[in-house]
Amino acid sequence: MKDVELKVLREGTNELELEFVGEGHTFMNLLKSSLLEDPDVLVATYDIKFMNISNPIMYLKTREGDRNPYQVLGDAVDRIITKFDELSAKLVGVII
Amino acid sequence: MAIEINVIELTERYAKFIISGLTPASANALRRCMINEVPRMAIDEVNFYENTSVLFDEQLALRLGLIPLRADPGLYVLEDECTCEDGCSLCQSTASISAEGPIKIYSSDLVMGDENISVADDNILIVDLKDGQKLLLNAIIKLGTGEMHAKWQNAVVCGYKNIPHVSITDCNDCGRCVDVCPRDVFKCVDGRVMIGDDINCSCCNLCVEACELDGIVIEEDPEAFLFKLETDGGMTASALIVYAVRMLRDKAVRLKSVLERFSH
Repeated sequence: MKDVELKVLREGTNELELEFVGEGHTFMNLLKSSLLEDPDVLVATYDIKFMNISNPIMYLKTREGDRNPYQVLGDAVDRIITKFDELSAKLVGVII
Repeated sequence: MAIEINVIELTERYAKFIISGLTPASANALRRCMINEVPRMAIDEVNFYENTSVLFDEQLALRLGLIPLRADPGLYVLEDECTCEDGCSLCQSTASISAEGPIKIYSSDLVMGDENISVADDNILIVDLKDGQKLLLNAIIKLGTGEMHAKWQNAVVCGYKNIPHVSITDCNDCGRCVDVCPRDVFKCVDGRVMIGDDINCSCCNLCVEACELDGIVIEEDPEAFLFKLETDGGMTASALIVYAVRMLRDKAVRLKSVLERFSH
């Protein structure tokens, strides 16, 4: 499986603009939704400039606090991992 | 909220189940992954040595590509991720047809080079060869995803809706809702109007409009989904769901490790 490729377009104390190479709505919307569950996230959005051609660019703005934007993003990813691990476990009993 | 799964129907190629405790984004990610991102095998290149059938080479190649193949995608690698130069048993497989008319060639006539790959349905007609017509070809099977071409799409039909909850708050048993509902959500029992099975409700609101007392309320559970999934035999419905969940989870794990490199 390919590694997830990230390009940092802009970095600030509470801001982050990242390009996700080769990704699409499938994962980006999931990531955005997870970020928005965090009360320390002020802005979390992504845009795909030209359909099927551009890579999604995610913009993240966080509140002043203990965590830098990378950590906030990491926590959002952790929530996805936990949720899908739970889903995997529940499926084993029921659908296999 | 904890995840709960309730399987309503499960066959080799069809699954109907309710998942609750998922965000709408998670449900959508799962749906999109099952359609577009879970890989599968399909014929991708065809070498024609002889083709005197009524269909020309490209037409036959398209038909061959669209034949669903049953294979475990975990055994193979995508072509651009393979470490080989020109193709190997990890990223490719072969199939061939050798026939002379008069005969109808079906998908079962594909001779597979790999015992791990088989045709999902035997009775797909590829071409009808008349007397004297010949077909001699060698096909290369590759791994791909639905994003690349529809022949590599795993879930033929995959959709979900939020679980509807219909309730009657005020009623004079006029029965208008029973008549107007296209999904038989309401029923009349001993002159009293009752709700039958509201899971079939399509939220069309015809009953809400028909009720002169404004006594019907339809609500959708934002975190409970009724999924319907159908495959064409490439993977079983249950294997597809499990694979898609793992794919999304693994992608999140890989993103986490990339992010850890960035924050240091």
